[in-house]
Amino acid sequence: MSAITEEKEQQVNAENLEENEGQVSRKQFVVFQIGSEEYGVIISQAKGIIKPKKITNVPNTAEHVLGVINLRGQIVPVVDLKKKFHIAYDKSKNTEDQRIITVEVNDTLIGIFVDGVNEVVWLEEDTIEPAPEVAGGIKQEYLLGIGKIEDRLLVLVDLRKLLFDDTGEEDNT
Amino acid sequence: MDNQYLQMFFDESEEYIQMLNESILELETNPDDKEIINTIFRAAHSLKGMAATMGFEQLTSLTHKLENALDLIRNDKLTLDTAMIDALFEGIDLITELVNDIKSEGEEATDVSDYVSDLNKMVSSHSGDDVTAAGGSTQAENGEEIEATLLENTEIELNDEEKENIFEHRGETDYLYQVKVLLSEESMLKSVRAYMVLKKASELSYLIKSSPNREKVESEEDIDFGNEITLIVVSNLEPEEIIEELQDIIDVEEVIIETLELDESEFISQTTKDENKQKKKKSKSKLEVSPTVRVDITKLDNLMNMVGELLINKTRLEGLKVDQEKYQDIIQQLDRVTMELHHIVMQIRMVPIGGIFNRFPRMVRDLSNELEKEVDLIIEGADTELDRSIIDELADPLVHILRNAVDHGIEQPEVRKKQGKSPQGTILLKAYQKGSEIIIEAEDDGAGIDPDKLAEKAVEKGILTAEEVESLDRREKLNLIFHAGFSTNEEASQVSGRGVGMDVVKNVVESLDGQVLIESEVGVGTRFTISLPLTLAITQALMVKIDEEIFAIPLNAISETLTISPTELKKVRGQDVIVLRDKTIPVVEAARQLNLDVEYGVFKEKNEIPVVIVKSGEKQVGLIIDELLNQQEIVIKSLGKYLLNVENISGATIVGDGDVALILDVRNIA
Repeated sequence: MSAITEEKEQQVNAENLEENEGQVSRKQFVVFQIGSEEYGVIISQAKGIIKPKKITNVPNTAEHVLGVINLRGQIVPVVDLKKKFHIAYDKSKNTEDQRIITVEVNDTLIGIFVDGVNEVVWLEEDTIEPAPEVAGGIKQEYLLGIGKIEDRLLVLVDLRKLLFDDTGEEDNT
Repeated sequence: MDNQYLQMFFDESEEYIQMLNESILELETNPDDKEIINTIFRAAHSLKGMAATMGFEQLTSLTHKLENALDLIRNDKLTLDTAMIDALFEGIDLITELVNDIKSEGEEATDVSDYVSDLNKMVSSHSGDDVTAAGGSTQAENGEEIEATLLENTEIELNDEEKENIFEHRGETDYLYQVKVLLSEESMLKSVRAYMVLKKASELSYLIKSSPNREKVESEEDIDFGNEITLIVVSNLEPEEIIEELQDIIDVEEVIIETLELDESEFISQTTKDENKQKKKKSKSKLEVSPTVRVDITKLDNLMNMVGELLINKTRLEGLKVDQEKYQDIIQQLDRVTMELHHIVMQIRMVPIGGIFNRFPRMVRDLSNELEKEVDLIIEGADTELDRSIIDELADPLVHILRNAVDHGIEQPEVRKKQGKSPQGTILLKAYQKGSEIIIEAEDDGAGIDPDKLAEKAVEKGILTAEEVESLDRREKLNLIFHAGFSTNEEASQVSGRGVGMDVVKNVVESLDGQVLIESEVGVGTRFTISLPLTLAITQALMVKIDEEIFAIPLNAISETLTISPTELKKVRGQDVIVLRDKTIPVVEAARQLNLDVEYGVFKEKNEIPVVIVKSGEKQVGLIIDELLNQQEIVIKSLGKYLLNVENISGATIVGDGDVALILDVRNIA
């Protein structure tokens, strides 16, 4: 599927993002893979999914900032959550699946480098569990909670807090 | 209320307020110049008219009072002194406040009644002896009444242009008439009758205005305007003659004619007999309010962005290197067109810096009066043009510099006299273009700044240690003034702030990709020099390669490029330097400045080392890079909010193949 159609599809989905069926409110999340774990971000923040392209390294920035890309004439920074979360690189992982999810947080377009985009899911609010102290190497305050789909666990991240509140280098070992 | 008219009202009132401010300043130096008073009077009058049309009552009454006072001044019934000028200024401030009220809250929130009564008192205390005072104000009231009757009587409101028309066409022996023509009730084809009336009236006289007007009458549609036609005409005929002529027209039942008295004062500028002089004055006032198309700045930004995109794609096309004559031809044409387009867009975005300079004379005047200093502000190069977005940012830093100059720079008159200076201090504010940069200088002939005092202060404030200060040279000590939290006056006065000063200036200027320099001599004066790029969005840059990545260095930061051999590298106190035309210039490795993850010092093994000499103010540094590429135009883009203030990187641009190249910020390197 090309990046553009993926994008469109998501925009359509985003419109009926928060459906209230009966009493249970539900939210839609984009599920992506980093290392061996699955993460989710609220779909309204996601703007598109693109294949990795040339990333220009920006010196004097934090380690998790991979650099910037040219997204249709706009300069967009790309963040590597793996470095942010201190997840070891899995060399055997197929790079074919790697994507950059572009998200809009604080009116700023930011790219999130992920190992793969798995699906878009509805999660009912009551299936979202509060975050434990640390999940997937991320501090509690950057999490919305843990989503459960059957026996899969999704780490739901609060991008705004994760990207903008955390100024210093993380120490969560 | 119609938004469009409201916007027009704001725009125009701003212009009139500016005109008032300027003219009253001028009046203060030339209190006897009647021309200036007339200009002020007209501006106040136009403001009043606009306010009345829009239904802003406070504004109308305020401008009306000011107008009256001005009328007295014009007729020498009122002495013009500093207090009176202050009162006028205060009035203008109130007008500004009212306009701002309307802008922000949609209504007039400021109370002007106190001022109005103050002004009344002021007027009576300034009108010579009591008898003339009484006479003066009565006359003012009379004038008011006449005007009121005139406007009431005409039933048709005359605008300024029409009033001017009256004067242009009225000879010595002419009368101004209001003519009412009543058509018979049964009259058919009223518009034809009206047409006949207007036609006849034009033959007999000069028709200033009519209701219904000619366009309406001549339009094909059948417009119902009742049975009455009102005309304002200038004619040398007696009323009876006009009535006779008009009654000859079929269906005209009655003609009522009235002679209108004109309030001469209202048109004083036109009463001058000297035609040339009149024309000259007109062209002058036109200069002050230049006819413009107002465009939303975001539209211009969008246009600029599109031109940027075009430029990038043109560069990409050029990179294709198709070996065909036709292709080369097209590329050349495209190149020419894009350059031209870029040039035009830049031109559109340029506005004269006078837009912000204009407000300074008033500010300096008020400030020097408050501090009991005598200051002459000379402005040069107000027509120098700069990109709109830069101008907007520049106002605050300049206010700061000028306030500092008046407050800390210029001494009290007695002090100046003792030092053999003229009691009046001078501040020269000058703008001019130098190459692709705009230079703004603010120079005063005041006390100057003692670098050692600055250094002492820095130690006191804990900004630097005594040892650190020791090693500073004169220039570096002076530059301490730009340090955050620095104020030189013992007791920071109310005027120029409490230590939030020059560091803000420096920050703003640097955020605009510019530089600010300070030069000062104790007892002689201080000069601030701000240099700014002409435009922010597109610039010429040298593309270089550092560790396999392409970087752009803006040309205005480069003094030259050269290739050196390792033997030319010398060491001075552990620092690599080169000697260039007898000047020792330190050289640094670009990769190291950028903290790139590479092995440093490898360049010393190369036979030819490319070096870019970059400059920041007077400082020069040689930047060692891997490869010099080419020179090209780049479109400057921001790295965005997520990557704020990246050290030594000022932005990014998109190069020919669509990749991103970072723009080096050499200010902290040099």
